[in-house]
Amino acid sequence: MERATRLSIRAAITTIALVLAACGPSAPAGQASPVGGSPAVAKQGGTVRITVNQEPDTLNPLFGGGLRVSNTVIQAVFNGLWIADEKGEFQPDLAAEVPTIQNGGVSADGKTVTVKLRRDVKWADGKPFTAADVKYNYDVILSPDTTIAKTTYKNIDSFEVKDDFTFVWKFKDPFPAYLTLFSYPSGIIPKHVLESVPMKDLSKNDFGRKPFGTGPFRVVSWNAASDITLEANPTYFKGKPKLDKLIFRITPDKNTQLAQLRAGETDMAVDLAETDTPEIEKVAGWKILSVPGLTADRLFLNLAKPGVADGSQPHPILADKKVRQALELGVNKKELVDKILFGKTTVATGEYPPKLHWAAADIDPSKFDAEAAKKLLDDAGWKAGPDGVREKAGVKLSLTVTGVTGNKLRDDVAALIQAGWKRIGVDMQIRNVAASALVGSWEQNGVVQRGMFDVAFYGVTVGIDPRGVSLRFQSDQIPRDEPGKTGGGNNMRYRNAEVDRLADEADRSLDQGKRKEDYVKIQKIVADDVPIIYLYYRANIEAASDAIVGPRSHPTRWITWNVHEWGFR
Amino acid sequence: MSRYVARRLLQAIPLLFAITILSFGLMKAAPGGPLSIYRESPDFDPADVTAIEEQLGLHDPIPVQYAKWIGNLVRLDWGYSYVTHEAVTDRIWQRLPNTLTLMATAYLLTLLIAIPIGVLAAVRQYSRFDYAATTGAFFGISMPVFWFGLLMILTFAVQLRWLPTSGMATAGRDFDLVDRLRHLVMPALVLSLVSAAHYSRYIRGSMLEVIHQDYIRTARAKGMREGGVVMRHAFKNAALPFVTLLALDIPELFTGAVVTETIFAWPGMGRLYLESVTRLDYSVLMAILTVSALLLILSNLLADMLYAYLDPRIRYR
Repeated sequence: MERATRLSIRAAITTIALVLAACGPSAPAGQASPVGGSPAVAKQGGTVRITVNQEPDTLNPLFGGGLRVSNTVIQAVFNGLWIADEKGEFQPDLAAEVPTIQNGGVSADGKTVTVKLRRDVKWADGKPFTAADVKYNYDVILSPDTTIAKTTYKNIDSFEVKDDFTFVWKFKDPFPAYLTLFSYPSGIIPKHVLESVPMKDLSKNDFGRKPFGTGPFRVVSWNAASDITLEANPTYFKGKPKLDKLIFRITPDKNTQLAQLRAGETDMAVDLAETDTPEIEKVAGWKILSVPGLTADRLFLNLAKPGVADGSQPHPILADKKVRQALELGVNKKELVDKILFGKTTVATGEYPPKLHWAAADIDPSKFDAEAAKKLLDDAGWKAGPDGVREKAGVKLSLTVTGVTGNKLRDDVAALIQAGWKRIGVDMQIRNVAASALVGSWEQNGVVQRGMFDVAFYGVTVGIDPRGVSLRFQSDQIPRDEPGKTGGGNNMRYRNAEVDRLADEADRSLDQGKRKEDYVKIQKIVADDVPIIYLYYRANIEAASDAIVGPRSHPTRWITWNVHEWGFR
Repeated sequence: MSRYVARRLLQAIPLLFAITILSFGLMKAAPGGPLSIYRESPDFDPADVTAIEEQLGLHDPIPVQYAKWIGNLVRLDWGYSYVTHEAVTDRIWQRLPNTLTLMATAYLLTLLIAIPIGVLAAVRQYSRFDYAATTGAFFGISMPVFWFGLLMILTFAVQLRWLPTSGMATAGRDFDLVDRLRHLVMPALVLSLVSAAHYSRYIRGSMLEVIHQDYIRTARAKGMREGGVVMRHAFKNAALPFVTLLALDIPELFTGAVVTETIFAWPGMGRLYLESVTRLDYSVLMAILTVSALLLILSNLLADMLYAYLDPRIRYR
């Protein structure tokens, strides 16, 4: 038997590795290589076995939602009011329509939203789904006895049920992200099952392990750390699922996952990384599905002098826009995607992948161009020194890139960037620190938050609602030592009056078309100013047996988003 | 003897206290917490995460948190998981039978393999068998478990398709003893072959010490059959240090085997421990650490008592 000490040391090492890895980009999200046309029609019946790499924490959507694996299962069981489509736009799900100013669902002042529900929705036990269920969810979320994130829901000043299928929200101030409420990444739980449970005991209730909702499947068994079995809900309002059952197999080790796949013990594997794909592609009868997701690895350039958090003093090198542009031209993004990410994703151009609604779709990805970069640096007054590193007024063009320890993929990326920058006369030092040190809060002396860096290298996941774009680039969001200002997202200490104005306008607009216009403009300005060098989007990647028809990676949701359509050939 | 046992048990109480304080402190010193994954998510406001942490008492001073924990423990309340919201006892009971199945089988297999090999290797020292056993043992000792496990999976599950790759049972199937046994074969073999490699060396060593003693020669001189000499006179005495080793392994029946369980996707305690460390699920972690510390103390005591029982020359006061 493994000796206890060795075992605990090993556990500790693994732990450290995992903790560090956790600060990397949240696991990859998905689009797929074209599904071979797939004219095949799925037949009725069958069980799809899905290999997942960890166990969900809870399947109660109000208390879960932090893990991809939990969302993958929850999504097969529950619905929200609206659902994000493959462009990241909200479409009706349990609601009959998307309320807008145009269709009268949103009042002219933006403070009243009327929601109409579908009338044909039943819970998996046959009871009708009504507005009272949504109101119950609202009460649960806001109850002081539940440990649920409440901030966004506090925007709702009053929740009034008009009739079984209509309710009205009144807001104190217009809330442009109102479509995320009860929609993402959440699901609505049944009042008639849970109303007798005291609020403080809800999270502990067995419903979190064997739930049912309005969705295409219901959970029938959960063997801890082993497998979760779901059965089809024949009354699903979007149509009876083709499959009879879904089984999630919890398999933590990547090599064992691959063995299951090769031994024909599973039909799908989800939450894979780009680096997992070459081995899987060698297995006959399997295909890789992938699509660029909401996480992009990027270089944050500090425009302010390191250590001057409020950004009042310029960075000796990076304050110059020409230098920042030269640095971007010195990064061979295409090579990163092709060599390190096996071509499974795309080069990043902005906060959102180009196919998404909120993206500035027409930004051209920057291409590696050493000559143009050199010219920009020459123009900016940086002349080659004797050792090949450029200098200006006694300052060497040497930058330290601070990243996270223990992330093999990003180590490889950093090495390629270093080589590229060397060619244009820029010296790059790599300094990796613990994730908690890099992205820790102001109070924890986080490197990024306190502005103690030249260049910071890590991945950021953007939200389904684009308000995070404002939080990233507004000058008021520069983290600084003032009450309420230490948590800002503008780590780059970037200032642009036009961006400030656009962000302000977008944040107050309930016209989603106007919001899009503003956010696209911001992303274009930023692409030219280069406070951030976007490298690549992390892909949402799954593998599926050719025998299954239907699964398609989703950029903003999880692979089970269309599970009721899946079936065997 | 009973006074000795009582004294040892009383001594264990402050020791356990010290262990819990130390583990609690170390755990809290680690950066992050059970909710820190939510801070990475754009769908959660960091202020919300902070509020929930406060609700759960995670921002209280650490001595206060410890006092609460130990206060509940006195009433045998182990608390709830910060990650799954289940009772800690539920989380452990879900896994413990699985780990016991695996570890007890491996334990038994270890003895069945190690004792005959160790004894025979000693009796026929420097024979071909002895050399073969030695080589095999070095192989077993130096082979990393994860590599051995994967090799078995690739050979018997992927290539030959004789056995399932992983898991404890075929998912979605009702209880089926044959199916369970087929899943048990590889992980139990991996664990037992590796530890049998260690044990067979211990047994061989202590057998060699005993086998050249005068009383063995006397037994032979009396005309006893060789089998009787070896098993009754030699092995019984040689087994003494071995018994201690075995007793000290008892806590592993509870803690499981992290690497083997991970490779074979075995839903046991080792993985629960690893998962709890990864997420810093304080309550589950403290329960596992405390129970395994307790078992370690008790199995030490048991080893001492067995020693006294087996060797009449040893007396505790």
